[in-house]
Amino acid sequence: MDRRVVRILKSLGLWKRFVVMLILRSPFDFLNAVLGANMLERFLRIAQQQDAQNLQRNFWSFLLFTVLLFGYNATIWATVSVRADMLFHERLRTRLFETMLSQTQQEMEERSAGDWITRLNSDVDKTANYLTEPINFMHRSIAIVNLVLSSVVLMILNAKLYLAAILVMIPFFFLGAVIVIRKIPTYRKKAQEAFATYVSWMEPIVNAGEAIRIFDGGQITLQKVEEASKEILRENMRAHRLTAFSSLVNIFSGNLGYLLLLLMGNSMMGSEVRDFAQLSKITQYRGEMMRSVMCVSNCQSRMKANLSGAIRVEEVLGKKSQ
Amino acid sequence: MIELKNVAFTYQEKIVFQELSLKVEKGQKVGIVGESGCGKSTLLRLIAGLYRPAEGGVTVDGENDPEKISQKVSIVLQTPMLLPLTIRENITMGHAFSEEWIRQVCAASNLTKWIETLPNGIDTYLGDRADELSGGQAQRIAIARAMCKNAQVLLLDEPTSALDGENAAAVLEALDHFGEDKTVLHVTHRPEHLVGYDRILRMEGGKLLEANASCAWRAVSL
Repeated sequence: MDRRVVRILKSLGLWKRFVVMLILRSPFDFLNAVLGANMLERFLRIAQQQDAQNLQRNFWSFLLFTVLLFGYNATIWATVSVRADMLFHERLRTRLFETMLSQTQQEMEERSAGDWITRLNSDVDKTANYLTEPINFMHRSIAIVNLVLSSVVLMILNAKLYLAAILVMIPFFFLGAVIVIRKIPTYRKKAQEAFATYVSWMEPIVNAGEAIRIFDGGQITLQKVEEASKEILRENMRAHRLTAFSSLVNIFSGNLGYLLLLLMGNSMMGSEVRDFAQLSKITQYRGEMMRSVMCVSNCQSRMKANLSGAIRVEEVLGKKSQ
Repeated sequence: MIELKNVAFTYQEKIVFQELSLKVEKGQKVGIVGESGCGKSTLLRLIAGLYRPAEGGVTVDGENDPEKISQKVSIVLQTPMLLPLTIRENITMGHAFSEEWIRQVCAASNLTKWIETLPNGIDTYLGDRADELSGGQAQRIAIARAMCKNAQVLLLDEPTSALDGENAAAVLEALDHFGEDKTVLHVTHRPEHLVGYDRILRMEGGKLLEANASCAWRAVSL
């Protein structure tokens, strides 16, 4: 996690709560992966044996585990995370207002009204999203846990197939990560700055409306507002394009790896791979690894994007501590 | 020519004027004095087409459509109302004027020396904190803007109220020079700023009174 976000969390007194929340949620995806992979293997095997009674018994057992797992996720963890999210928003906005009020008029005037408004609204939201948006920090951590544990299981099941999966995955992951993750925050930050300029026009439009009307300044005013608006769009589009490219790389990498595993697995059938059921189990774990890698990549790019908000929030909070 | 005929105007449910009439001939210089809040600024805004009368009519050079009246007048208000643009854009408001004309209005509004000290000169971006300029600098940009438009009617609403003595004198001199061939309505608290004006009016209780030759005030009538 970015040290600036850690500092914000600590200054708000929410760091411990956040860590507890993370521990509560982290094993979920891996447990779900284990459940899915074992279910598939066992069902395929029982289906081959045509044992209907056993199939029914196994079905009810898996259903019970699934209900328990998702029940935990939807009740205990959801309650904890929603409360933490609300608390974070509330404390961060209050702290920002306090910091603003503690500054001198001169310090206040160092930033435009639009800049202040942006920091109080969209930057706070971005910082909160960095931590609590479902596909961001929390899910990245969960995905990392899932990736590591699924990798270990796959390595134990079949080291050669594990190596093949990894070899396909790594280059694509780094390609996406290097190109996408490094550039997205720059574009998002520029978009935030353009948004601040856009908001800054609201005040003069209201306060200098008479001058705009008498001197026929509507056109230039509109032109400037549109320029800021286009800049927001332009920078967001750049970020979106990169994200789309990253998704494409992930999908390509996913399909290529799957194909490779099926081909290799088929040639090992009866020797290093016991049967088709086990190969299905192996592809399940590889699927989990792939899903986790994609999740980490997506979360990383979104976190980087939201980090621009956290940086701007910390600039204000840091001012108070100085 | 400016003409107000039986104008009634209400602002936020408060009656400001009732049956207000005034005629200002082309090229006349008219000063308006009166207590704060008596409606002097409102009168200028009505003439400029910024406010619309509830009753009666306002015409400027025969035009009574507020949108078109706005095109015929220039205004300098107490607050300069600058925009987050460059100095040039604040003066021209994005309209095309010759470099020579812009140079002339900058000189007439005593801006040239200050502009020359700026790294980007007239293309210096004022940002959205234009109020960080000194009162004099900001007001002189507003005056340059009014001059640049070069409308035949010049409305001045206490243009020097935020300026110190020296700046105020320079601004008034520039405005006098610029307004020589124009119809001028000048609202002020300070009658000494109206020396040389053709007519002095006083606003009182929503009515306009005019000083006659013996300095007695009488109601203005058409």
